[in-house]
Amino acid sequence: MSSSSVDYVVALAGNPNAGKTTVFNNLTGGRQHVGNWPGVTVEKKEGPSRGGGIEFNIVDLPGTYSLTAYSLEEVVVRDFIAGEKPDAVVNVVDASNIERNLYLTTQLLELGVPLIIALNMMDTAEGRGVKIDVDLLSELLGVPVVPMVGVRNRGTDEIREVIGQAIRGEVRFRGIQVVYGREVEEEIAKLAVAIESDHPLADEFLEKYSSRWLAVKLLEEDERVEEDVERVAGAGASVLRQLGESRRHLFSIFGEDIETVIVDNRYGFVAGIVREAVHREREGYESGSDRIDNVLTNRVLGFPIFAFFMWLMFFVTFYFGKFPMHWIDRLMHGLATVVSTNLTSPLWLRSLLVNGVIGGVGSVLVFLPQILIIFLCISILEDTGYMARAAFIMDRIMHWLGLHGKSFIPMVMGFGCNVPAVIATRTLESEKDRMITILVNPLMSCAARLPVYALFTAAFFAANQGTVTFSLYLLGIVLAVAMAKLFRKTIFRGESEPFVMELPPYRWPTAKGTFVHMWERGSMFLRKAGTVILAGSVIVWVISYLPPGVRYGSPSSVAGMIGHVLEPLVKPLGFDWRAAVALLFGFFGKEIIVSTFGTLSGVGQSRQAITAQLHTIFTPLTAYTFMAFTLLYTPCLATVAVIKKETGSWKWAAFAVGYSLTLAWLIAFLIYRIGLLLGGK
Amino acid sequence: MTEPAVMPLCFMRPGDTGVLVDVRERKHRPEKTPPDVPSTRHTGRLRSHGHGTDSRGPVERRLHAMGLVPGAPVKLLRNDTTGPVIVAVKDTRLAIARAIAARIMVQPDRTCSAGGEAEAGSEGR
Repeated sequence: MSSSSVDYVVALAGNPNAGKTTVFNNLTGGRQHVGNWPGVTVEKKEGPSRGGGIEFNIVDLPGTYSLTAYSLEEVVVRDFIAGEKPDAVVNVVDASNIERNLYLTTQLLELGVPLIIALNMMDTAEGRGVKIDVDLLSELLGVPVVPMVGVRNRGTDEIREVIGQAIRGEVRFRGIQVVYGREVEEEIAKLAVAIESDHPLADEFLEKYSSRWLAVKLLEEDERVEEDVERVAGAGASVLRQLGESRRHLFSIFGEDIETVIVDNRYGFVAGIVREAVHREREGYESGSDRIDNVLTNRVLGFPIFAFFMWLMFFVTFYFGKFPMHWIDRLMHGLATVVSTNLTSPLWLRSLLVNGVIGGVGSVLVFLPQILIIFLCISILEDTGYMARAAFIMDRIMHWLGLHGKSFIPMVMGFGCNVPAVIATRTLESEKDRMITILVNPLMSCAARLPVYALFTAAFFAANQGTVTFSLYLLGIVLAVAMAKLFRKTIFRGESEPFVMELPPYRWPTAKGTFVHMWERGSMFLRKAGTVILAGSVIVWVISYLPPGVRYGSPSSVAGMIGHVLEPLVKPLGFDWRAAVALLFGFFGKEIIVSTFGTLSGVGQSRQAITAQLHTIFTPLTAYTFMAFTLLYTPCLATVAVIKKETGSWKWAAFAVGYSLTLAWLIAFLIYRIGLLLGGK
Repeated sequence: MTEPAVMPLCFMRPGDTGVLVDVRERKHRPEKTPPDVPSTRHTGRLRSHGHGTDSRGPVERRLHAMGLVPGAPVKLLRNDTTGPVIVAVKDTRLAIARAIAARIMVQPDRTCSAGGEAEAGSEGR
């Protein structure tokens, strides 16, 4: 049946920005992220597809420029291809940048996999006067080449067909490999023999890799392969003696690193193919992208333009978010009225639905429009290619923090959600840079904090809601900056690693791509509303309702008791037990703070009712202190989990929680006390 | 007229073109050690820290993979005296930190005017 035929695995490999994700979406028909800045595909994605009557699973591998052991992504790609032995590997190649892209192809060919080239962005190449002889290219590489235009979904059926044929074994893969010249080839051969005759080594590796591949990697000084060989064969093994000899011999011939010789040969191989199969009608064009860059990355204009885009992003979010928010609010209100008038008994069920479910989830759902809009803006920034320019513009400022421009991209993404932002730090080369960026990222006001700001500013600072909200975003940024500096001076000492970053050509984002991108991230909030927030709301309702007979949400309920236990911790900040309960549950997702007040107050029908209730709990001063505390205190559960995953240790996840709790308490304390001194209430 | 002198990428001016010659090693690195038996290299697990005894660092490797190899024609697009430079290599645009751009040695094209100016400037000194 179909379940057994999905055992076929097809991997998708290629350079960042080659349009790999678009091809993946076309093949799977699934809703996936389409990005435009380096390293956007950072997680392993899978999706089913079919072609030529065969069903197969497509695995989207991270975008890489080569297959050295240089970065996490490269190792992931290499290990997957060698270890999982996919039935076919589709190499997505950007036709408009073919020479650079084929460099990776040479290394994929070296792995000896059944390779299919998806020659993407043919339209862009043609637009630049680049003509590619597809048949000749296929002939020269010894693998099938399928021309495509991913964004127009052109070539998808053709590549499906070829994948199907490849799985059925109907394609002959000749896989032409780079020849490194007589001297190098002699040493490769010697090393290969030494590897094959070393039994522990042969047993361990030759199932996955060819002896030639291992030999080339050893000559290339690939540290992963070298370590593995040393571990298995032992330090004094003949393979390693041969390696030493080969290196010395080649060094005496070439007078430079063998690695450089190997790289040169690969590029030479690519250049030869390009000379044959690619014809340029004109040389040295200046692309439209360069002209746009003259303005957008301009030394004088660059920063003001960037600041304007940031302002615009928030303006659009808040201004246009208001209207649909109003509608959802009315809808929730109506729903609560309908339920409470028509459902008379049992009483507890009515209370659960009105207070717990509608009150809790509804109070968060109201903010969905703003959350979607902010994700839309971030998607547009990424999909147009502007995000990489923002990183370029911000480099100087980031440098002052001991970080560099590339760290800036995760920071902006943090305005949407800290989880993808933490994952996005994978593009940073230096471990220290990455750790700092991860640790300060939760201080960026994510979209989940927006409901808290919106609710409280509307209730207490209706006259200057915008300014107060802005001050909180600013507080987060300032503290992120300060903590980054502090971490750089203490835990992660040293200079930031200088960076190289590709600036992808500007593209008009396709409406479909951008909305899919927005929806992917935004729908996460909807799912959260249906799961974590719903569960949180029900729990809060239960502990507010129990023990039986107490007044709902009163100090003698379970919620009241928990709150009173925690109250001493937050009392110095001016918060009462209800705030303590809200903050406790807010750890599961900061929107839950809003839903907790909705549920706890027992008036969950409308925002007006919650607002009135808030006035009995907070003063303007404690409301502001509470918002600042919400911003800073502990990353939410999902963020803590992703920090653990990305840093590989609970220690750093615990540190992120610990330092932010401390910071939140201190800052909130300062705000509250200084506020009191200044005569606030 | 002599060939313009080889210069670091970060000294070129916007619009200048040339051919990449080499990527110099980082200054604070230890002297290049000839390739040795690998068992002496146990320690340098992560090259990114820059004090391994390896002959090529991660930056050079990344530059290679991104197309910045000896012989590649380059065109400088943006150079603002501080901060990163933007350079066109083949069909790619790369933003490169100044610290790295200072290590990328380029043979400027004789024909390009700005390169000529740089040459005249160096003669004047």
